[in-house]
Amino acid sequence: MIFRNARKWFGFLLCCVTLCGAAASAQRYVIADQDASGPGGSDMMSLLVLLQSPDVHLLGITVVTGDSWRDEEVAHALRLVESVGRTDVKVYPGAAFPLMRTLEWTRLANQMYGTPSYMGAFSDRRMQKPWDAIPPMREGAPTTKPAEEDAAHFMVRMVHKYPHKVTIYAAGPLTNVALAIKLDPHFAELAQELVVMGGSLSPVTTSDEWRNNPRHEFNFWFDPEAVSIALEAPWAKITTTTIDVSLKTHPEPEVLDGVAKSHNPAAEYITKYFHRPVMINYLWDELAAAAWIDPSIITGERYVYMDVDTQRGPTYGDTLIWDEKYKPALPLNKVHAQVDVDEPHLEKFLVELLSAPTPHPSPSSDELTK
Amino acid sequence: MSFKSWKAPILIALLGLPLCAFGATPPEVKKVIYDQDTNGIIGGDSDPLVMLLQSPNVQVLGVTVITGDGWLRQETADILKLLEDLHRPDVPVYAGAEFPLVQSRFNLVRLTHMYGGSRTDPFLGAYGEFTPAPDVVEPPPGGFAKIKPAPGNAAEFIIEQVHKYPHEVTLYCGGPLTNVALAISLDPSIVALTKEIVFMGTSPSMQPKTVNVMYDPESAQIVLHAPWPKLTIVTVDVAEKLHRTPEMAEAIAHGQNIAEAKLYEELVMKPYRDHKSQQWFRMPDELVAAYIIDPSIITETRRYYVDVDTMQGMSYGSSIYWDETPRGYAGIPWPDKPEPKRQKPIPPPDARVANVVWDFDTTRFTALFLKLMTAPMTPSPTEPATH
Repeated sequence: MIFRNARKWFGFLLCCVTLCGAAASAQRYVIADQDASGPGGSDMMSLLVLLQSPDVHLLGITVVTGDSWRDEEVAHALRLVESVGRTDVKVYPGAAFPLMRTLEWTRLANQMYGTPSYMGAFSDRRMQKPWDAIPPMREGAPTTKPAEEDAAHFMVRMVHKYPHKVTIYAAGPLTNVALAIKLDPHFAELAQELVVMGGSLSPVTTSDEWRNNPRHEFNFWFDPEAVSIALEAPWAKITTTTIDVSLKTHPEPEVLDGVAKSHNPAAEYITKYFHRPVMINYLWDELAAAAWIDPSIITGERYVYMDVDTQRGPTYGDTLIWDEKYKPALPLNKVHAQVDVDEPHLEKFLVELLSAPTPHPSPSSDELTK
Repeated sequence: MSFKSWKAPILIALLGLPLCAFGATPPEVKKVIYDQDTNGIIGGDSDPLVMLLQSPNVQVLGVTVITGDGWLRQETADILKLLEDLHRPDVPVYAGAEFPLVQSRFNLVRLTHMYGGSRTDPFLGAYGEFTPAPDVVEPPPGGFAKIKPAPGNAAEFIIEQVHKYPHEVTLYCGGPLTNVALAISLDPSIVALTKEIVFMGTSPSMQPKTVNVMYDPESAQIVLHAPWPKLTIVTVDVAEKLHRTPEMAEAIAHGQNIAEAKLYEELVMKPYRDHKSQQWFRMPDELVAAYIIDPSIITETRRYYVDVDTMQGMSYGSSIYWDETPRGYAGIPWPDKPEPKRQKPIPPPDARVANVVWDFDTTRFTALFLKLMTAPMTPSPTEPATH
């Protein structure tokens, strides 16, 4: 008895030591798939969240057309990593266009079915230049170059290199994710988790964008077919940051003021390129990134079956959800849809993280030196 | 409407049929309601009316006008003028639905820009991008008619006549089916009491989007889903076999029907001699009239389930066909007994089987058409056709 007990205790202690050691050293792997419009803004600040966190190993930034056009976004992302001295994180250009949706068709559909209040890259403002032109950048042109590998292949390669360890954080349209799934059917099951900023259930708001169309959300709307592909793939876990919770993250000006007190590179970037006084409206993508790092930020979620309307009518791209009892007889995934947030906690988390010095990469983290 | 309520009358009608056939009565006179859109006062939308009026075995109960190739007000003015020219003011003209059920004036053009139009004929009738507005009425050739439309509306007239002559009325439907759909919705009992409905529209293969369905897909679906004692369809596919020719127009221009001869001379032959471009169109509506007058002109009919896509996408207003008896695949017929691993084609549960006109005798058709179009105008019957 005594002998066996002793073995148990020894085993327990060994476990503790191993766990502590792991917690101290192991970083969580993530690929940031982002529609990286910039400078400043939610797309950039969420990338900073991942770049700043000492617990996160950002394997790469994959760029997709969404809020803005891909090539412009790639330049902004490159400039961002240069600004904080993290050029070890490569930027991978992804899909320039949605799978099916075209600008021409969207314009006709808007006449037919009504116009969304926000169209990202398809808005008239973004179409004043050719889609692949890079206009003068306020933060200056980058000196580094994007990776030669494309976004989808990079994502596939990473999940094979670190099976079940890589989180796909997708805060733009899901075109790159869908392409990766279709390039390699094992992609989704080899990833650890899919974290999406997208979808909308029933937000309570007077905002134009959702007041009349509560199931509309830009990232889903921009590439509905890609969302359908992504949500039906065999992921171990899917988490979505919905409009329902995003609209509860209207930050006080103190968030930026708090960051402005710091003179570390990330804080300086934010202070310089966010319009002042506060132009930051909601913490869309920042919440998705922060909640992945610290799940206690989220205080409420719904665990529902989720899909997207891919019929080309007035509700093309709208979020569809079902509970167990009423779901259609189709293979669908359940999704952790975030609906409530501890906002003071989120703001504190962001101010602390973004004010801190940017962690230096450990030499072993450079994927391209293998 | 229950299944029973329409089955019993058919049974009675079927039992009564042999008695009529053996009787020494004169040939049966078919009572026809002419439900039609128009595009001018001659051609495919108007000549069938002349054919029916001139055929001794047909009594035209009335004309019900429907927006389709043109807008209702213009069409009504055209039909009234035609009847006046033909000295047949006794035929009542009823204005029907000015607008389709769901389709809107601008919807078709926008859908066409988004998804493409119909395959062979880029023609959208009243709904075309450059078509005058619904309230624009140009005088027909020779000026507006003095006769006026009958009071009341087309759907009510259809209901009233079908009840007045149960199992006797044939519905000639040469335009979109809004009037008939409205009549069914107002009084579903007319379906079983109608002798036959003949619709010009849909296509098994040539162009899934045909105008009479595209103009009002929802109405077409309502009508095609109704349990008619007999539903016959004339398609663009079968009509493609024969187009109008300058010779036909010349024959009519030199015919004994003074009004038609004048119109064909002015509107067809003169521009033709001046080498103006002319459309020598196929004759589907004329074929509907010919079928009603003399069904033996039709040499083949096939039976299909026919339904309409009413989803507002690329195929809005397309017709879809299913075999009544599945023909099998790759030369292997379907087994009589169901096999678990071979599923038969399934038509939608609401779809019904139509007799689809598949082939016709072009020589006899042309002869009938020209005979009826060139014969001197028969005077109005002494008593009015209706009431």
